[in-house]
Amino acid sequence: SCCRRPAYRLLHLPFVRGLTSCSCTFVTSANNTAMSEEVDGAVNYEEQQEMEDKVISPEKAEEAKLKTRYPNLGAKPGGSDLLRKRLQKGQKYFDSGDYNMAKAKMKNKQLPMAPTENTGDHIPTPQDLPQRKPSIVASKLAG
Amino acid sequence: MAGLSGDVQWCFSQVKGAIDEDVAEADIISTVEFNCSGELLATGDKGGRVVIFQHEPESKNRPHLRGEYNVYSTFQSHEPEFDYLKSLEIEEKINKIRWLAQQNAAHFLLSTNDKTIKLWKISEREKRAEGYNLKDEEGRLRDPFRISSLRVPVLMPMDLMVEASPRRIFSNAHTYHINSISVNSDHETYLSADDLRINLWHLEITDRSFNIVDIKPANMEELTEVITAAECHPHQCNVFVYSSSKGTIRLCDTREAALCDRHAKFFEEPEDPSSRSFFSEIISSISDVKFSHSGRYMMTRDYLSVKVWDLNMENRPVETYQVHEYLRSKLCSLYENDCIFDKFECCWNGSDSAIMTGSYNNFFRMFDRNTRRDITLEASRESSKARATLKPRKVSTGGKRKKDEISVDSLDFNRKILHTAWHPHHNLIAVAATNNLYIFQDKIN
Repeated sequence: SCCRRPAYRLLHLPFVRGLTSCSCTFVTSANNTAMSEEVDGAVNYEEQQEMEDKVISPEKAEEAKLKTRYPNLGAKPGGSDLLRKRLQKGQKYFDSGDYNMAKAKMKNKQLPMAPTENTGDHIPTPQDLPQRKPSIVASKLAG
Repeated sequence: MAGLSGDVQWCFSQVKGAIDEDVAEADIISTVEFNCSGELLATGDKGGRVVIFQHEPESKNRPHLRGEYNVYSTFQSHEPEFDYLKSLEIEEKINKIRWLAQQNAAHFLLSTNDKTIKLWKISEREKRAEGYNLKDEEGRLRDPFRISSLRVPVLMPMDLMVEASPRRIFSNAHTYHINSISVNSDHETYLSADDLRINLWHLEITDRSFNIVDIKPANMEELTEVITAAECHPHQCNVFVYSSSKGTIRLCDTREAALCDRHAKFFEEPEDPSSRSFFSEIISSISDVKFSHSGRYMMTRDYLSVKVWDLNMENRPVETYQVHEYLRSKLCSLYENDCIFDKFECCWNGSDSAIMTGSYNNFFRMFDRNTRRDITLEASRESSKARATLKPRKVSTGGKRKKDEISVDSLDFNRKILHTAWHPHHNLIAVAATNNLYIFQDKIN
């Protein structure tokens, strides 16, 4: 599922700049569930420096925090870089063969092993064939 | 309709969807929409499927609830495609569903993914013909030489069957990803908006559409903003609005020119330049814009707030509601985990006296515009007992956390409520929480 993350967000981080498809493996450091721990009372070096800013604006304090973690971030975040990648959302594949291989890999994981079937004793006619089951899985909301 | 907070007591009514811990990506609900009467409720998901629920009136067994919503129809609207020219996958995720006003026995809706819009007809069939001459009851062909008499087929009642069929497919008009569709009040046209362009379609014509807004710069290096949402005015068929990633809204009048690149009105709240930060533009990006039912106001949702604008006043909103201001001191982490880019929607109640929007931890917020009171509620299985009144929730912002409050750091940012819908006439709401659809309504005494 991380491969569906819009590419523009990843390209914003300096260490993944320049990568195209599936840069998600590099972003495991970003903790998706819990927020970073904010322990009351413990003041580290960065917080001490930005203590004044914190009083003025929490937003500016957060900006300072970001800049210390990613010093190479561009000056204009909402500019062309961010937007251009947003317009290019979606995972890029090298070609249609690459796409079909990726799809096949996904399907292989899901399909169970088919049991060996007994062959029949006569050539079936359309009337004898069982009704074709829909291959699309129905939504669980309709269950 | 009664107001909010003091007057309305929200109770759990129903929940749809699986309880599994492991949520398949395809089951994530991506849009929720009531039809004009509120009788039907449509949902779209990431797997490209549409499920429509129908309101069934209360039965003798359960007289206290105002009836309930049951599955009416479900179908696969969009399927994953591959753009061979650009080597890109086109997601089947349903971005938006919009209902057409009902004009006959059938129901029509528009559903769209990133590239293609489809008009679906949902109709009921309660009769079928029986007594054919050339085929038997199972549909197998009869030998014509064995037929010795003729009979006239008769229409016999059958179990209700609801059929969904695609009547129009509007494709190949958008280079960028479609974020909005909106049906015009003339019942003939609708607009579709992508990141850089807005097109006007006629519901009957699929091979042509008019481009009415184009903000693509000649040099893509100069790109500074994109279109984030668009909507037609509910009564004036010549007026529509579109919002941008820079927090501005433009109102356009199609009578002025064929190409509405020049806005008729420009809505922007002035910003204090000294408070500008790296995050300012990102959190000002408007994720949703909705006209009030009256057509006098519009509402916009940005990352931290909801704003109500009077169409007659462009320089600032008339009302601003803070959704989760406590997140302002967490913007760094929210940027790192991408949550800062989440697109929340907002909605009006039928009388425009209240507005609703979602937040994190499966919380959603409602604001009463008259009393200025607000309430935070949670969509969770724990509070899902029949007709149980929902308990208001509170996030503690200070150092001391009171009992029953939840601290900001304990919020679950994976459980987010992006899509909500309010019944057009009653105090009944549908809230999409990832793969579950919750229905809440006010207590009837």
